[in-house]
Amino acid sequence: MSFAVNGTTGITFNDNTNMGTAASLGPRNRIINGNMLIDQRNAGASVTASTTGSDVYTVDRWSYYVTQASKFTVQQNAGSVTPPAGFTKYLGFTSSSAYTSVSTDLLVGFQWIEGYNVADLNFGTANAKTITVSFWAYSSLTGTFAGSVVGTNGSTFRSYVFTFSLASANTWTYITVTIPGDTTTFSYNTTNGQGLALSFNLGCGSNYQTTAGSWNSSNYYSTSSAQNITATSGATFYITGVQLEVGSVATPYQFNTYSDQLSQCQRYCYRPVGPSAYNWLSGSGGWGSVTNALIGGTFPVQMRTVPSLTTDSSTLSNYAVYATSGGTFSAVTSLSVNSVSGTFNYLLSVGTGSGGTTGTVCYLSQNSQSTYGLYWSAEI
Amino acid sequence: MYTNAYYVNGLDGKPMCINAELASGQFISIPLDPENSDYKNIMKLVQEGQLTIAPAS
Repeated sequence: MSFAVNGTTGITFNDNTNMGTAASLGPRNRIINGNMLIDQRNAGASVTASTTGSDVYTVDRWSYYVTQASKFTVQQNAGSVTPPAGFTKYLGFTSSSAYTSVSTDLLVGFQWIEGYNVADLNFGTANAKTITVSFWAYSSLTGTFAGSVVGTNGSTFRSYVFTFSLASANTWTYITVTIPGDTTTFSYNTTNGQGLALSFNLGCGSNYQTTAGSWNSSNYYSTSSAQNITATSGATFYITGVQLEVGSVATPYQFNTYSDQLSQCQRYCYRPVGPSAYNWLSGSGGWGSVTNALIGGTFPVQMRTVPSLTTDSSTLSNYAVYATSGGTFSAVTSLSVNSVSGTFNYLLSVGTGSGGTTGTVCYLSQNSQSTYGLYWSAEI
Repeated sequence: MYTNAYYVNGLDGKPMCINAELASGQFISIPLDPENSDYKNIMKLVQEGQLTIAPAS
């Protein structure tokens, strides 16, 4: 293989790929699950963006935020088109109607990068580093689309809106965008909070629009002329191979082994998965009384913070405490994260109507061969 | 986003978590951890007067 060295682009190989900076030699991508491979919550199912006013997660690490309910659906491999070469999954947004956004509307898909993972960018200082965002995009629409990079100190924002063009409908297009580091003094989070968000506009109103290409002291996500896919019924917008890296050159997408990528995702979301009905959803525990058990477990990786527990079914009797001594399942009547739960280990207080023998071993499981699971969430 | 929220007490009689239902129909148990996003969200709703968390029963 031959290569060329250039003072601007770094090393260019004969397949036209680049290594722009020394950082390219190590882990480069600050985006987790940029190839949309891991989908612990929905396992590929379509979800209607019905929850307004909070971050709702789709495939792992990717979420949407909407101020209007049910304007689009989101799904891993929505529409079942062939992904770009080298990829098997993508994240697809499909407009549910022709909706004209009002000024206060904010409809975006995005990923928050944890502060620890962007601390070296020195954003908010004179030493801020240039970054490059690259991704594959596909839409039923053509024209100019918008995205943004956003940071917050918890109360105020910084943002940089960028645009990109999709000239051909229903065609995967490789996009690269280089963004200067933010040298304006600002306290970006550099620990386990909201570091930087990379967002893609789906239907923003004028309050969230600005001119592309410079840093702003507010949270902007689009421009006045960019496509809102939610304005066209059935319009699609798909992305994959999303990478955010240091430097002014987009290097090839950094693929991880499946196990490494799953572990990265499990810092933020952990879904115990068993092979069949009655599978265990916890580690072992013990009955404290006839009707109450304390059941613990260990997370596969340290979670970002103490996680919430969410069950697939709001009907708790779809879950059971399995008593190993008698082999019986007792339907769950109450389920609570115990205050001693941490980022490595957890303890659940589980109530049942009956069935316990004080001091004997038990587990949390599915009940009556239900298929309902649960997941732990420590998302940003 | 959250409905039917209520505190759950631990064995020490002090609140150990908040349980609630999500708009999606799921059940959620939220630790009283200020860095937990669900805790932040639910307390924001309380501060805005959009949600009341019932005391432990």
